[in-house]
Amino acid sequence: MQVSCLTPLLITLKVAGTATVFSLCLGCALGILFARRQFPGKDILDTLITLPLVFPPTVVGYYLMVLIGRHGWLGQWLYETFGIRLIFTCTGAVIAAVAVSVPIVYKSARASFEAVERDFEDAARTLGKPETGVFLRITLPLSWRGILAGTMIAFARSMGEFGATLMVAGNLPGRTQTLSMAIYDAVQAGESMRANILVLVTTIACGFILFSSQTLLKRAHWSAGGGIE
Amino acid sequence: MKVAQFSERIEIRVSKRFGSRAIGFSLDVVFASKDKFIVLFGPSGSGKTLTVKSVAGLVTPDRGRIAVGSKVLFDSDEHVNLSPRDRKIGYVFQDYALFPHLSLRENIEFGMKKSRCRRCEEHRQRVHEIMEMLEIDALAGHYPHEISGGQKQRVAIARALASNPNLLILDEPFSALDVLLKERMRAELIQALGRFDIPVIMITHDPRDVEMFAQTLVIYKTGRVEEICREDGAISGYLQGLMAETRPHRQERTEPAGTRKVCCAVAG
Repeated sequence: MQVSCLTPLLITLKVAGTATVFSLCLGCALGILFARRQFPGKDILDTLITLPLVFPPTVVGYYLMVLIGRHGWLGQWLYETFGIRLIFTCTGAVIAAVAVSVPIVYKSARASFEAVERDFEDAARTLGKPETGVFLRITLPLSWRGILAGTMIAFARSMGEFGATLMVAGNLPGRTQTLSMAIYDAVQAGESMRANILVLVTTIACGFILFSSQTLLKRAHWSAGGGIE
Repeated sequence: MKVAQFSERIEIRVSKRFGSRAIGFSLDVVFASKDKFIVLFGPSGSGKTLTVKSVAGLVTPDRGRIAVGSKVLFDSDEHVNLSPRDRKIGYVFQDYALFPHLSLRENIEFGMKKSRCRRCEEHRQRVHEIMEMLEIDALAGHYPHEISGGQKQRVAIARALASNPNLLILDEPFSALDVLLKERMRAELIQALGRFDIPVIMITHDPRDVEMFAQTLVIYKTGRVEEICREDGAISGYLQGLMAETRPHRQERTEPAGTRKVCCAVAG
């Protein structure tokens, strides 16, 4: 079955884009929680959130199968109660991409929040700002560049996701087949022209993302150096 | 004796414990004053900053009572603990904590409420007045990393005053400045603060600050108030005693310095 080169790119962008939005929200929430609050089991929870970053993707995929698979804990309940099936769908691919990219956003967000001097936040409090105001006007503006750079890398990581996605979402051309899987298929089928084009498309997309994130990181360092003292 | 004077303008009674009884630090201070300038004096780590952070609501004491005039900010017995934003305390941090991503004007306006637009003109006027008074009106559009230490200090004070506080806290305001600038800024600060009718609590470990500012001098030692001096005579007496303690070292040091001067003159 021949699918154009554009379809896997669009699926990849859709999956990676959606996953990045979720990772950004979840990663920032976890980042501010871990940067500012003390609670029991903090280090263990930090390890658990970061694990998908060091796991082989197949291990992440396996865990997700156990969780959201047709006979998984959550998967079975969802299917029986609402008739929702996550496995071998685009949603499954998004969940796999979120699992591997949340740790990246979380790590960069936590580090960025921790780098904001507490005196700035305290100064804003004494100047009459409520906690949301302190976060929106001081903490976030002083840390967004680092968070954004982490988010770009998370997006790139989601784009290149292979192992976990393959196990959870399968490799269905036109439905869940992303760029990395389409390349694998093309090589296996000996379609070198198609593989070349797909690889080129991936290279340009990933190169652009990496370059932008590096530029942002540089500017983040500059702004930190331009602070107090 | 001092505890009995609690009808006064500023009343501070703070207790807080950190760590275990054996190796931890405990703060237990009581003082009250009606004077405009209250100076907290003592070595680093004696609890001065902890005291003023409790006053500003940035640290919550275990027990105590903090009041400015008739307004109770904290009272552990009455379960009163106002949030920092409801306390109306102007706080100038040791290294000023100017927001690096905001211009100096935006820094100064930060604490002013902008809910009513019809008051915009009034606000602009007030910002302008304060900046003019502290001679920083020409810098409005600049960012904190573009200005000098002395200017940063003035902006930090302007920012604290613009929010219309009931009390101003200065945490070692001159420690980040060089010696020559320190002396000039002291004189300027006394003049500028004289125009605002609010009490000032200043933290310092420089005897010169005590000499220039203190009307009530609170002397700290390892989390306790060692002594409170109120009269000018008592304050200068304390300072003289402090000088006398260090005098032998001074004499030893002046002689070699004098010799070196002669050597330099000969060499020159």
